[in-house]
Amino acid sequence: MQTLKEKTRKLKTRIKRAVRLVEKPMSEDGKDGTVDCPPQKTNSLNWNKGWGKYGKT
Amino acid sequence: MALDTTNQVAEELHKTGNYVEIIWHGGEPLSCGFNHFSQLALSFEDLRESGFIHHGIQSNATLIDERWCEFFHDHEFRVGISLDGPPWANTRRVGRDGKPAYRRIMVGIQELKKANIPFSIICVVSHNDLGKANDLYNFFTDIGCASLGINIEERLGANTNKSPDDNYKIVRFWRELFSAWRANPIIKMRDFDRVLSSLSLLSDDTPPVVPELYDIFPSIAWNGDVVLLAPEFLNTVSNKYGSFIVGNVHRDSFIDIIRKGNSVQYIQDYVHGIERCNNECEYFPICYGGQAGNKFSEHGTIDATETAFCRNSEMRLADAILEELI
Repeated sequence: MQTLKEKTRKLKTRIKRAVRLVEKPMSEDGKDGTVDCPPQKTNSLNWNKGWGKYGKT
Repeated sequence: MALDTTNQVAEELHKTGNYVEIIWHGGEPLSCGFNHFSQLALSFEDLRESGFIHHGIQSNATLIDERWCEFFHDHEFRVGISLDGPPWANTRRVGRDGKPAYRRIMVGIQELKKANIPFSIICVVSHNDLGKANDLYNFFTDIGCASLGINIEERLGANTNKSPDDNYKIVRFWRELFSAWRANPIIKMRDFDRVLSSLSLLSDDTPPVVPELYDIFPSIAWNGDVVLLAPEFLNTVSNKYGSFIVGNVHRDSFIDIIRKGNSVQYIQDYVHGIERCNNECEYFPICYGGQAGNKFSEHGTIDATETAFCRNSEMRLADAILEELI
């Protein structure tokens, strides 16, 4: 049975590719890249991440 | 909420000098009427103009019209809408008259779009809708939200419905949603964003760093009462923790409230619970310790570890993403 850490190591390249999908500017999809989207916290050291369920951006 | 309460909060924020995001939340914040709400928000205008605060609001959109849009635009509100999907997914969002609120929500959203105000959506997914991730994603791309956050239904605060507990269905839901998003990634997905960033760090060989600071997330009630960690605690009394209220803005300074927060039992239990999560759960690098409100509502104590929220919105989500990436 693989641990979570082992699974992520094995899929590292694909995870990084998926992260780039998150970071890709919307303009690349023909959307307005200058739209002021509510910022999404991506810093793993951010303890606030779970507060998003209350609407915190 | 009375104007003297927001004025007092603004005065205290002036003293702290820290950047703060104010989220107008709870019930329907716009229901107090435009004139009253705008007065409350204008208490913070100096702070906003100096860049010390930013307004956010979580609304059901039913009252949003051109005047509200102008106000949101002029005062740089980040607007979040609570909407669970098309009419078949939104049946539990009703007005005071008991009638479905869907049509009125969509009218409010149209007003936001007309005014070119970007909005995020928080969508609560119940057990019945776990098989419809594709339909939900397509719906939200069609209505043009800037970002989407999915909350799997939780037994929390006023909601006594049981959280879905079918691991297979929940993983399948997240997999289907992740797949739909990857095929057409035009919406920022709150949940994929945060979990992917954590998975990415975990895939590196650098050891995870446990943060030394956390956000105590103060919630202020209409009368100035303050609770920490979860807004649901404003309406909660327990044998173990009492009322959860750590101060009142009319009586105590923010500094005193925060200082008192360090010594109250439920905060200490929260910190201890987080330490236990770190020691006992391999998913800790994904979520950093879970939510106080869920721990209390499920276990009756905040000194707890795993909750349905952990399983449904952190663990199964991470599992689903990894399964989809194989």
